[in-house]
Amino acid sequence: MATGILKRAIPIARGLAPSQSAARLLLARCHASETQAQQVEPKAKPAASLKTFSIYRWTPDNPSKPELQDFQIDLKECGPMVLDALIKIKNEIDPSLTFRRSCREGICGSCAMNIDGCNGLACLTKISDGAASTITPLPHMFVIKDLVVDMTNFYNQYKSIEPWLKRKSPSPTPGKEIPQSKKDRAKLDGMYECILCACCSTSCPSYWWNPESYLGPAALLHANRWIVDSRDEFTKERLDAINDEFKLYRCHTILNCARACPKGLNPGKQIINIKQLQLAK
Amino acid sequence: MASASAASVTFRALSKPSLKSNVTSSLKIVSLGWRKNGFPSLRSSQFRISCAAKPETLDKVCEIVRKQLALPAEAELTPESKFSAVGADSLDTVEIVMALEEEFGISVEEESSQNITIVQEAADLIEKLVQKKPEA
Amino acid sequence: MGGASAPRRLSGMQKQVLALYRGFLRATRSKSPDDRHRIESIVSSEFRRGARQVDRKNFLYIEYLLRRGKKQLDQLKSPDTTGLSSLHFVPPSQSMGSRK
Repeated sequence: MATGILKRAIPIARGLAPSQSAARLLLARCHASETQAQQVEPKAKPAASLKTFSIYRWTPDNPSKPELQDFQIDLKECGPMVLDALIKIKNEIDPSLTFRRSCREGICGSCAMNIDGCNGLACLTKISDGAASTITPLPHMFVIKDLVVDMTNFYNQYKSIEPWLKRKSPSPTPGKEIPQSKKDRAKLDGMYECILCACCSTSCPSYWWNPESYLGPAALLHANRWIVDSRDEFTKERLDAINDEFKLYRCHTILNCARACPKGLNPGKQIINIKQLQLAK
Repeated sequence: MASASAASVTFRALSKPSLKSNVTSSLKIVSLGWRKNGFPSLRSSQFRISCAAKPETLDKVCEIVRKQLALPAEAELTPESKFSAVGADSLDTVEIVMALEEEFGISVEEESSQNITIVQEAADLIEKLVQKKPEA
Repeated sequence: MGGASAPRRLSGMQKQVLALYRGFLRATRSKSPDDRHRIESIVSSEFRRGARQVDRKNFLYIEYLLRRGKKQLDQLKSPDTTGLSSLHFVPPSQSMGSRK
């Protein structure tokens, strides 16, 4: 997958000063916990299974060049997911490490990041077996701090497709919901599940080159979600609004989006549906 | 901009600088440059109008520049004074242009505001925009 | 940014900074005189601090400040916004060891 190609230049500092200082710090902590452990229960610890996480670091408060900083943690004392490792590092090694997280079960979409070259949610991505992992922010996004990226443009694009029910005629029973057949409801499957984590859009080469003019897979998936909705009465207007060389047709069915989606959705397929509806219009 | 500053001197003698006097005095200046051709064309003189600012405008611009930069009374400020020469950085220049906008009730576009570096240029641009305003 | 010296041609980024500054000053016009005065002085001191302290070659940081400024400007443009405040963060001493 091509998401490994980052626009940001990251000087790889593995094995250099930062890792040494991190290791030193870790060592100091080991001593501290050892003395404590000896006092409480002098039980032999299982052999440590160390893994190094190289994490992208940049902060506006200390405006130097971004770098990859190495953190070593013992997987025996860590949960199975990448997010567990990040939280452990933040709790035990460097409290200044900054990332978004909330639900830790893949429903909030906050912890989207690039893990070993693939976009995904840290909370749904298992820590891989290798001795090292690289964690960087979502590719081609402006970094606010460390793994936190600026989502303004992404959200504005979502907003631009008017993601709400639009009606021309009044509701069949005023004050009540508008009914929908099971069949019509089923048409929304594969779209309503989207949590807007931006893994798909930021894995799309087309989106990298035209991040502002091309709406990207996530926004287009949602556009289709409202186009297909049986209760929405602005289908034609919605189709017209995105019938644009850039907004829609920068999708070249590369389908990185489908590979990246942590919810197993296929935005590319939804975009194809929009294109077909444009032709049938 | 030697011609333009000369125009401002000419105007000072006139009691009521109207648009008409503007044209005539500008003509005078233009004619200097066009002597070789015999007579200046009306078109070129029309063009010159936009470059010759009234003395009041110049005075007002100077006044605003002095206020924005908090210049002492004895500091010299002439139409040819460069903003940078009297201690203005690019941020001060932005502030000056913004203050001028409010004073004259005009709106200076991004592009043109970045070309203003001396008092005369500011005054000229203001005249041009003030003239344009009623049409818009 | 903003040197008082020669009529140097402005870089694209410098133009963006000046445009942002202009945008801020323009946005303050819609505020009450009191609010306006307060906002203007904060905005002015923030930009001047940036001009003084930020390394002019640190494009990554200047771009960050530009984006942040644009966002703040958008918020300021809302009629409900009556004030601005600035917070100056002093990085902790480097002796923490874990950051270079």
